[in-house]
Amino acid sequence: MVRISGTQKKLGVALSLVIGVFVVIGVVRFFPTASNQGYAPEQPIPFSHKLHAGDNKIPCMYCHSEAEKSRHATIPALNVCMNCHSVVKTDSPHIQKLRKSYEEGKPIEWVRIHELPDYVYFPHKRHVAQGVSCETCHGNVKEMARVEQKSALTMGWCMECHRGQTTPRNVMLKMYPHVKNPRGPVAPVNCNTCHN
Amino acid sequence: MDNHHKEQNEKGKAEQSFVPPRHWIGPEELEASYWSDPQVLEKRGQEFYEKPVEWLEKVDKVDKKGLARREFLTVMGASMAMASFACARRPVHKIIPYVVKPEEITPGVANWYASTCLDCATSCGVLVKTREGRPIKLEGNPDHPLNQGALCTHGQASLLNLYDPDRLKAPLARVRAHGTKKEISWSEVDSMLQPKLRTVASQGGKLRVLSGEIQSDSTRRLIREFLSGFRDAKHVEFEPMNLDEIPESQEVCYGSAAVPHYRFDQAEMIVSLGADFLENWISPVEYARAWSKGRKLENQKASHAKLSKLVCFESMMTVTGANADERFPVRPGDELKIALALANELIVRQKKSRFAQDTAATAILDGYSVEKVASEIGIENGASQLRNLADELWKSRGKSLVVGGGLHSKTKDSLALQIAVNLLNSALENEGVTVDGSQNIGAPHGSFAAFAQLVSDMKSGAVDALIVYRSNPAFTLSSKSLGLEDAIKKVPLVIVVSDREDETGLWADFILPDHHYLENWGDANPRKGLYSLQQPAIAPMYNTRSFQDSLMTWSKTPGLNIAGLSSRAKDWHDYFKIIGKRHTIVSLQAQQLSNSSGKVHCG
Repeated sequence: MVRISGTQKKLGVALSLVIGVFVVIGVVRFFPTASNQGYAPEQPIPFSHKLHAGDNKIPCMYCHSEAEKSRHATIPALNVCMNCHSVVKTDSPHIQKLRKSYEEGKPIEWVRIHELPDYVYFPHKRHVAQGVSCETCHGNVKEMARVEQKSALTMGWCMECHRGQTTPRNVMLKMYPHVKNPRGPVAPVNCNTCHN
Repeated sequence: MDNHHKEQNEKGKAEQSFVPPRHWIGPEELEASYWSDPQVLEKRGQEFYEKPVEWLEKVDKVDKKGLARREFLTVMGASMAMASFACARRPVHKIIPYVVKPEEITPGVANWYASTCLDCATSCGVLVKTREGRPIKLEGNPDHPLNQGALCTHGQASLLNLYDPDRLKAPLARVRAHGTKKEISWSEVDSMLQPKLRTVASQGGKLRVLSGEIQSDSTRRLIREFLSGFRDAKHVEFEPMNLDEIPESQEVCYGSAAVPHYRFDQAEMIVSLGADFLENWISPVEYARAWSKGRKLENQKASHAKLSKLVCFESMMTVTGANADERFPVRPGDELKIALALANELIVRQKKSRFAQDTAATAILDGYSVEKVASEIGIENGASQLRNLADELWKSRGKSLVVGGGLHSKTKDSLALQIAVNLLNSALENEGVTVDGSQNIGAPHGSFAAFAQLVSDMKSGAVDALIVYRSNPAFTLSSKSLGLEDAIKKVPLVIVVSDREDETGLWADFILPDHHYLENWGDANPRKGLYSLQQPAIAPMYNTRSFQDSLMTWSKTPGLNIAGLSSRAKDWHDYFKIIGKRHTIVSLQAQQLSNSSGKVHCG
């Protein structure tokens, strides 16, 4: 039997702690996080939300009209773009590109920015119905010339709002109309609410 | 030990006298011959008789063609290591919106279309769940009077046929002599077939159409119109699972060959003699729905709640037997004896019912007393059980139902069983109540006899052209039975209209892909006074054409002189609409659809 002195024990614990920290740092640095926060890819047409939703004050639901009906907010079909752009700024090369693909019947392939894993069920419909504003999750899109993913869209981030910690005040007041300073859960936190 | 062996061996060589080793593993080592074996000599001195590494290397070297085992492991290890790095970057996904979005489509919200299931001749109403124009699920239509929201396993699974990779994607022209085939276009099909059909028509017009049981009146009418251009043409319908004996017995007993409408919801006492009506007997979904109504207490007051009783005699374990209150396993064919014993008990012994005075009936039933039948069949305590059953049936006369005969109780006496069942229902005053002739399913349009006649016609050379539609006799019958293979080989022109290259297609000149029923228009008349509409839920996926459209194209062949609607109508949809208007089916269905949930679309 090998004898281990107290000093050796302490040294061993310290050493394993140091190794552990290195391992954790290594894993965190080496492997990407689940979040795609800050992702702002280039789109086939440099559509500016700043120009449309910000300067021209087009409501979100004019284009993303299915957000209150469906689980997807949906990117508008080309005929929605052409509602205005058959007359507006027809000299721009980007609008000409849009018009060309509309006339040829070839849809534009937009790059998806906000994406949840397949095992998450996220309905836009329910969130819109509860009064969660678009900005709560998507950030201030009105300021974005090129849209980027503002929120983490991780499970922890979802849960913060579902537990009532970062829920916007208007949603809180809607859920608890008679409570002065509402706290606590506003949305279900069961596993099968989202992982069903 | 090795040293010892060595010594031993040297000694053996030197002295030719063998001393068995002191330590040995097997008894063979005690023999001198063992130690002179060259294989043993070779292995001598090694630690193991068979070195695992050496053995593995030998195995590795055997297969020179593929990867050796170790190379395979190396590659696997490397690919696993690489796969774990592959997730390091997120894939770029695209969103491709519509160019012009159809008004009724919302991505993420399913559309439901009402249609009719044509997987069997029962024709239940279905709701087709579609997402972005793709059917993804079938459910029973709750407003359909036949299946009332239920759908059987076959119906549920029929959706998978739509996406079956084995589906034919284009018409095939075959050379029967060599078995070679090539894909052709529909215009080629028509230009090849039309002169052939014209020749058939001018040389006697010996054309036959063989199909499964067709529920659609308009399709049958179209086939009739097409056949009118040929002098000696017939339409033969053959459904291998049909119970021909039921309409036959109805003809014998009542004079009209129709399958009656069995009202399981009206019956308080049900006896099944081999009829598996909950799973595969005539219209099982409808019967299961109706029967389950009598088994629910939900809407009844507890004081006079009543459950219907089901007694089942059957020769194999079926769903019906599993749901029966009393189940008696019997041999196939014994069902007839039980029917006769029940009739004997009621009519002869107890002298009940209007047949008691009928000497002809009593004379036949005389030899079938419950005691005799019970001992023959070998039911324990059978005589008193059968007697009790007869009493129960008599007590609920007018509200009882006896059904019999099915696929697993099919014997040469099947017709006799049906007649005995009719006698029982008649004696129990069930006619017009639980055995409803007024809403009958109608006589089946085909029979095995008609099919056998077709085969013998083909054999004698009386058929010049055969069109097979929704029927696969080469599979449902063996190729040797009735001499089907030889018969079909004698027909100069065989056209098979099917969704795949099936067994009958192997004897065909042309295999023409038909639409799946979810891609086609149509109608069905499953019961007297009940029409059910079929509408497409998806545009045709492949280069297929509906059988009806094919017939209409061919009937416009110059020289065939086919009059009637098919010459006027533009295509099958047009034809079907004209027929529908004429019979006001469309308005009926529209009314039915507007009653059903607002989600359902009528095309």
